[in-house]
Amino acid sequence: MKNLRVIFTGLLVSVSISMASGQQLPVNYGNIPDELVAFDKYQKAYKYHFIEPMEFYGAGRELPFPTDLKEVRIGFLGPLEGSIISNLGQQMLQGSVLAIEEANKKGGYKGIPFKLMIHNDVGLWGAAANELVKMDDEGVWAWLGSIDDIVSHVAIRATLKLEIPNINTGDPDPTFTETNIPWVLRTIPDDRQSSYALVDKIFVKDKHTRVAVIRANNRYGRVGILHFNRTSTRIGYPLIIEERFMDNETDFRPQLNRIKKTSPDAIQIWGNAKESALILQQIRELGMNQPVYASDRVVSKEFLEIAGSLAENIITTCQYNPEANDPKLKAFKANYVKRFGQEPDVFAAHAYDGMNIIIEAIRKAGLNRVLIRDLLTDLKTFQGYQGVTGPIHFDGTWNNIRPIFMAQVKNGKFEFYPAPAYQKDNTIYKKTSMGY
Amino acid sequence: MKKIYWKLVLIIGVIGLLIILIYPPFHRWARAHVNYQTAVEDHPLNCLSCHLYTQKTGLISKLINADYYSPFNLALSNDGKRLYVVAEESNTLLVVDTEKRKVTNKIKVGYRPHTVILDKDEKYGYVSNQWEDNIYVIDLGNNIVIDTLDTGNGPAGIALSSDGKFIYAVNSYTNDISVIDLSSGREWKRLAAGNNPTGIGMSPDGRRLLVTSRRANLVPYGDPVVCELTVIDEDTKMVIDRQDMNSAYMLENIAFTPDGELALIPLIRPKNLVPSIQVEKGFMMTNGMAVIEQKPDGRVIQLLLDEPNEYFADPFDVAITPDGKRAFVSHAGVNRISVIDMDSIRSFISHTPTEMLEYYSNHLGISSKYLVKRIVTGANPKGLVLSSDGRYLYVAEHLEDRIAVISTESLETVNTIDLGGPKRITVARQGRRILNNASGTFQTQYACYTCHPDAHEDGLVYNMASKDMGRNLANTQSLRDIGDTPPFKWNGKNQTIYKQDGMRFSTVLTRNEAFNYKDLDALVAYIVTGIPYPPNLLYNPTGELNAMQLRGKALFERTIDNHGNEIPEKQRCITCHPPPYFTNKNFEDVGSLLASDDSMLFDTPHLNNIYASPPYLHHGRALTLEEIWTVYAEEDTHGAVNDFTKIELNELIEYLKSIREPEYYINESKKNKVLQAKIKNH
Amino acid sequence: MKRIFSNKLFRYSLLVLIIAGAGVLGLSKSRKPNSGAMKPKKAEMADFSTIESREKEARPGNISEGIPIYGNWKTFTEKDGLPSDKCYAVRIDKERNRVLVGTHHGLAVYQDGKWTTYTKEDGLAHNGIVSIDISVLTGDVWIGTLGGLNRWSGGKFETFTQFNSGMPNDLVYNVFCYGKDVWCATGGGAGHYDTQTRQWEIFTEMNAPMHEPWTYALSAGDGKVWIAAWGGGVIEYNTVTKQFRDYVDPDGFMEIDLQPDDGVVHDITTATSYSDGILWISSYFGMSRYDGKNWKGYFDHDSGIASNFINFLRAERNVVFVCCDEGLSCTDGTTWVTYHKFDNSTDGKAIVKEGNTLIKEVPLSPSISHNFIIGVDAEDDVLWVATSKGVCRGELLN
Repeated sequence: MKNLRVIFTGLLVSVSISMASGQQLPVNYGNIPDELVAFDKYQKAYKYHFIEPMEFYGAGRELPFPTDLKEVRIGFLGPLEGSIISNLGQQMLQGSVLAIEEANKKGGYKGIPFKLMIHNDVGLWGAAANELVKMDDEGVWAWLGSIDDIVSHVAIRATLKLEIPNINTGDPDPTFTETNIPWVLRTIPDDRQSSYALVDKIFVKDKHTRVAVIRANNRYGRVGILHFNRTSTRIGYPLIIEERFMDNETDFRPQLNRIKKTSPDAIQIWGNAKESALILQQIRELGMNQPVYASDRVVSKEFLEIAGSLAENIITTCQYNPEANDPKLKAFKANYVKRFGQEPDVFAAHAYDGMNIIIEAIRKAGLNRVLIRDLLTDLKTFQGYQGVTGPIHFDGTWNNIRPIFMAQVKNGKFEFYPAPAYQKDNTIYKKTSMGY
Repeated sequence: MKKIYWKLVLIIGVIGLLIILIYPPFHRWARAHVNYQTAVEDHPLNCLSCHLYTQKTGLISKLINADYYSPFNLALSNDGKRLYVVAEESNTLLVVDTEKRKVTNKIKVGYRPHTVILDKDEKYGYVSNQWEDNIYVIDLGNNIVIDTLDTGNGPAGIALSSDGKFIYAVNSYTNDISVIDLSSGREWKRLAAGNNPTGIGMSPDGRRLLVTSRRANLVPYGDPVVCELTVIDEDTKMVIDRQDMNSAYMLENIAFTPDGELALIPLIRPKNLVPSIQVEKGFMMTNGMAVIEQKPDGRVIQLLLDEPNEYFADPFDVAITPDGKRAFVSHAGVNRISVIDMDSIRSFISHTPTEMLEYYSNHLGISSKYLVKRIVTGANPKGLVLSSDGRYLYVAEHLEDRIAVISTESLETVNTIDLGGPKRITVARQGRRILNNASGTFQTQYACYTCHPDAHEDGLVYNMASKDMGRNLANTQSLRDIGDTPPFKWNGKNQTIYKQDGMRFSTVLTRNEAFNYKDLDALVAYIVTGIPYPPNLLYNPTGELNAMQLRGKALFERTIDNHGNEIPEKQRCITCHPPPYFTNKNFEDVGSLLASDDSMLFDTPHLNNIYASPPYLHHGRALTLEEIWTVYAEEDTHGAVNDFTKIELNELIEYLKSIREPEYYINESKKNKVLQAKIKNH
Repeated sequence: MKRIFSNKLFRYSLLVLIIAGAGVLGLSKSRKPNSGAMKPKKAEMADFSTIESREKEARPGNISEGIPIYGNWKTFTEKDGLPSDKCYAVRIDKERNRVLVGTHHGLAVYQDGKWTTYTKEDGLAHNGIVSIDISVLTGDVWIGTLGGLNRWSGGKFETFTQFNSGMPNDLVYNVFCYGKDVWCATGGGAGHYDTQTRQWEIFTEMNAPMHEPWTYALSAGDGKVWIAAWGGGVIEYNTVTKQFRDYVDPDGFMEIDLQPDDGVVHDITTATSYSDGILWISSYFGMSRYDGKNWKGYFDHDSGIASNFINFLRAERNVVFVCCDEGLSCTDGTTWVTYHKFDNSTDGKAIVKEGNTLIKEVPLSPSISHNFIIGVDAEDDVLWVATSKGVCRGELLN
C-alpha cells in the first residue's frame, strides 16, 4: 500500500511537472473537470469544439517587411478615461509602457524603437471597434487589451476582420477565447478557472450548501456567475438567490434584505472592488454574519481601504501570486514602483507579460502580422513562457489555463496560496458511452 | 336748452382738461414705446401699424386681410385655348379661357398646390400638392379631380414618363423623387435627389430627366456652395449622374432647347462667406442661368443675367420657343422677364474655351452678348409657359393675381388676364411684395426672399460684415412664425422685427436706403401674420407620436439621468425649449461659441419644424441634428445627453423631428385646460 | 298603384330618395380629395410581399437547376489593377454591367475589362470596404466600410456615420438592401435606414434579444430580417409585426454541439442568407440550414463543406455559396461542390460530394485565386469570389 502511495505520488508529481512545463494540453477543454463536461454524464456531444487550435489559412505571410519604418507600432486598448475601471486601465497601460521602455532600452526592434499607440476604449457607441480601425490605419503590428468584456469582444471581432494579432491580459470572460478567432490570445486565466476554484472552496471544502449571490449587472458579473452557477448546480448546489446591482450603485440594502430573507449560509459577491467593499459593509450592517466570498477584482488596495477590518477573511481568487518569491516578479515590482510610484496590480503585471510576449514575437517573426500571429499561436514558442505572473499554459484556444491562486485577507492584507486541485466527486461523475 | 348747452360745455371742458392732462404723459409713453419697438425715434405714432395689421386671428384679422390666388405655375393646352393656373394660396387649379381671358373653372385641389402638367392627349392633368404629399389627377374633360396619388414629402415638380405610364414627383422636403406607376396608382420606387429638389424636365428625346435642387449640399464649413443636378435615366428609372452646380443654388426650373442640345436652368450664385460689404461692390448675389450641354461629357456653363450696376434677382422659371431661338427667364425679385437670344448663347459658348467660361460665370457684363430685352411684369413673376406655336408667353404674376400675356414677336405685354382675386392690396400683401422684391437692396441684388426662400431659410451661413468683418458668421434662420419668438438675431440684440428689418437691415444687409416706415409696417405685418408652417406630414402628420418619438419626448422632458441622478434644471431640454415655440426666449451658452465669435450668449432658437432647417447651431456647422451633440456638445454643454445610448439619442432626435407648428401645441394646451376644468367641476 | 304615385307625399319622398341615392353614388365615385392631408396612405410601401416580388423580379436568379460547377477561373490581383489583394466583398452590378469589389484599400470596379479604384478622396467613408449591396429598386450602391456607410448613387458618395446620423457604429460589417430599407450590421448593433423617412432604427441589447450589441451580418426575405449576432445566434425580426425572436444553440454551451440538427450549430454566427424559403446560417463552427420547421447542421466531418470556419455565405435560389477558410463550397444541402486550390500552384480542383461521400473530383486549371474565401456573388453564368489574395471569376461549366 505504501508502495502504491509512492507510485501514485510519483505519477502526480510527474504529471504536475509535465503540466508546469506547459507541454501537455489537458484532456478536457478549458481545464473543465470531468464531471463538469457539458452533458457528459448522459451522452457524448455530436461535436466538441476548441480541442484543436485554429489555423489561419489566409494570405499575408508573403508580404515583405517594410524597410522605411521610424518606429514599430504596437496598439494598446484600455479603459483610460470615463470608465469606472479607469484605474485598472491605467495599471494595464503602465505595465505595457514599462515593457516597451525596457525593450527600447535593449534596442527596440533591430534598432527601431517600439511605440505604443494608446487608445481609450470608452467612448461613444462601439468605440472599441472604431479604435481598432484607427490602429489598423496607424499600422500597428499587434495590440494589447482590454479589460471590459464587451469592449474586448467588440475589438476582437474587428481584429479578425483587420487581421491584427491581439493579446488580452485583462478580460477573464471565458467566452472571449471561445470565438474561434485565430488572432487572439489571452494570458490572464479566465473566470471559468475562478469559478471552479471558488465552487470547490465554498461547497466542497467549506461545506456550504445554501449560497446567495449578488453580482454586477454587467457582462463581467453575468458571465462570471453563469459559470459559477453552472458549476455549483452540476455538483448539486444551485444558487438560492441571485441579486444584481448597477455600476456606481451605493445602496445595496434592498438586494441584501432579499438575500437575508433566504438565510444563506454563505454569500458570493461578483463585482468591482468599490461596490464589493460597500456590499460587504452593508452585509455586516444588516447583521448578516455569513462567510463572504468575492470575485478576483477585489484583490486591490481600494477594496481593502473601503472595507477596512470587515475585509478580514474574505476569500477570493487571483490569477497569479503577487507575493511569489520570484526574482523576475520582484524586479518587475521594483521597476514598476520606481517608474510609476505605485504598486502594480494584476492588470499591470499581466500587461507587462503580454506586452513582452508581443515584443518578443515581433522580434522573432519580423514585421508581418500573419507571421507574428503564427509565432504567437504555434503553442510552442510561448507555451510555458515564464512571465512575472507565472507560467503560461495555452489551451487550444490560446487561453491561459495555468492553475490560479486563492486569496484571503489576513491581518489587513491578501495572502495567496495555490487553488487546490478540483476535488472530483465520483458519486456525481459517471462517464457515459452513449452518443456519437 | 341753455342748461343742456352748459352741461355739454362742462363735459367737453372736463374731457378736454383730462386730455390736456393725460395726453402729454401718454404721448411720452407712446413715443417711448414706439421708439423701443422700432429702435428709431421718428417712427410715426400710429397704433394701427402694430396693433391692427399684425393681428393673426380673429374678426379684425379677417376684415383687414384677404384671400388671394397667388398664381404660381402654369400649363397650356396644345391649341393654346386653355391655360391651367396653379393658384398656390387658394388651393385651386384655375382653368382660363385664353381667348376670352377669363377663368372658366376653379377646381379645388390639395393644400398648397405647386405644379400642373398635362398628359399628351390632354385627357388628364396632374397637380402636385406640396403640403398634402400627393398628386391630384384631373379629368380635363369634366374639370374634376378623379384620383389621388400618394407621393413623398412636399411634391413640387412633376413629369410624366415618355410612355406616359409613370409619373415622377419631385419630393422637395425629403429630397427624393417618387416614381409612381399610373396603372396601379402606387409608388414604384423612390430615387434620392439633391437638397430641396424642385424642378424636373424630360429631355426632348425622352431618354433623360433632369431634376434641380434649390438648396446647396450640406458640406463642412468653408467648403464652396455646390448644388446638385440629378440626372435620371428614363429607361431604367435610375439616377445615372449627379452633376455639380458649383457656386450656385436656387436651381428652380428647367427648359430644354427643342433639339435637346442644351438645357437651361435659372440659378443664383451666392457669395455667402465673403463679408456682406461686398454688396456695395456688386458681388454678393449674382443671378443667372446654367447652360448645360446635353452631349456626352457636355459642359455645365453658368452665365449671368445681371448687368453692371443692375441685378435681376430671383430667377425662377425658364421657357424656350419651339424654334429654339429665344429663351425667357422670369425674375421674381425685380418683376422682369429676360429675353435671351439662344443663337448668341450657342455661338458664345462654342467659341469660348471652358476656362474662360468659368471666368465669365462671374462676369456682369457678359449678358450684353445674349440679352435681347427686359420685359416689365406685375409683382413677382413666377411660372412661364409658351403657346405651342411660340407666339405668346404666359407669365404667372404671383403677387398680382394676374396672368401677363406677352407677344414673343413684339416682346411686349399685349394682354393681362385677371384671375378674379381681391382688388385691394392689404397691408400684409404689400409686405409680402416687399419681402419678395429686391428694390430695397443696393442695385437690386437680392430680396429678403433670396435668403429666405418660401419665407423660410436658404441653408447657408452668412458673414454679415458687422464692425468686425469675418467674425460672428450667422446661419440663416427661418421666418416661419418668427414674430412670436422675439428677440431676433442669434445674439438676440433686436427686440422687435421693426428693429431687425429697420436701419440695421439697410446698413448690414441691403446697403441701401432703409425701408420707409410705411413699407416697414407692411413688411412687419406680413412677417408677423402671413408666414405659415408647412404641416409636418413626414414625422408628425396627426399629432399622435409613434413609440420612438414618445420615448424621445420622455427624454426631452426628463429630470433624472440614466444613472438615477437629478439633472440640473439648466441642463434639461425642456427648460430652454418648452412648447409651444420650444424656446423660453432667453439667452444661453451651449458651448457652441467659436473662436471667431464675439463673447455672447445666444437667443434660444425655436424648434418648430426643426427637421426642415439644417444646418444647425448659430454657426451652421452641425450638418445634422445628431452632430449638435456628437460633435459640438461632447461635454454636456447643450443639455445632459452623455449618458444616452445611441438608441436614446436617436429617440430624442426623432422626437425633435416630430415637433410641429406652434398652433398645434397652443390648441393642445387649451384643450388640456378645458379638460382639466371639466374634471375639476365634475 | 296610380293612387300611390299621385300621392304628393310619396312623390316627394321618392324624389328625395332618388336625389339622396344619386348623391351617395356621386360621393362614392368622386373620391373627395381635399381632406387628403391627414388621411392614411393608399400604398403601404412596407408591404413585404410587394418588396419580395420586386426583389425577385429584379434578381431573377439565372442559376441553373442542380448544383452549378464553375471553371475557367480568372484571378485579379494588385498586378491587374486591384488596389489591394485583400478582398472583403464582391457584388455584381448587373444593371450597369460591372463588378464591385471591396478591398482593404478601396472600392475596385471592374467594367469593360478595366479596374477603377475609389477611395476616401472620392468620398468614401473609409478605404476598407467590407460589404456591398445594391438596391434593386433604385440601383443605388450601399457600401459598408470600416469607417461608415456610403450610398453611391449617380457617381456621388454620400456618407453616413454614427456622428452625423442615427447609425449605430462606424464599423459596418454587413449591409443589405431590402425594399426601401438599408440594413446594417455594425460594431455597435444592427440597424436599418429608411431611405424615405430618413429614420434610423437600431437594435442592440437594449431593445432586442441579444446579450450584447455584437452583430456581424444580416439578410432579409419574406418580411423578415435575420441578424447574425456574434454570440447571440440569429435574431429574427419581423418587419410586419415588429417582433423579435432568437435562434440560439439549444445546448447552451460554447464548447460543444450536443445534437447535430437541433438548432443553429453555434451562437457565434457570421452570416445569414435567405432564398427559396430556406435560411442558411454560417458560423466559425459549421453551417446551419433552417426551413422554418427543421434544422440541419453541417460540419466538415459529416458533409462536403470545405471547413467549419465560414466567413460568409450567400444563397441564390436553391443553392448556397459558402465562403470557408479552406475553400469555397456550394450546396443545396445534399450535394456539395467545393473548390480548393493547391498549395504553390494556380491549379486546383472541384470536389463533388453527396453528403460526405466523394462522387468525383474535377481538375481546375487555373483554380480559384486563394482558399481563404471572404465574399461571393453569382449572377447568370458567372461566379465572382473575393479572397484573401485577390478576386476571381468563374464561368458555369454545366
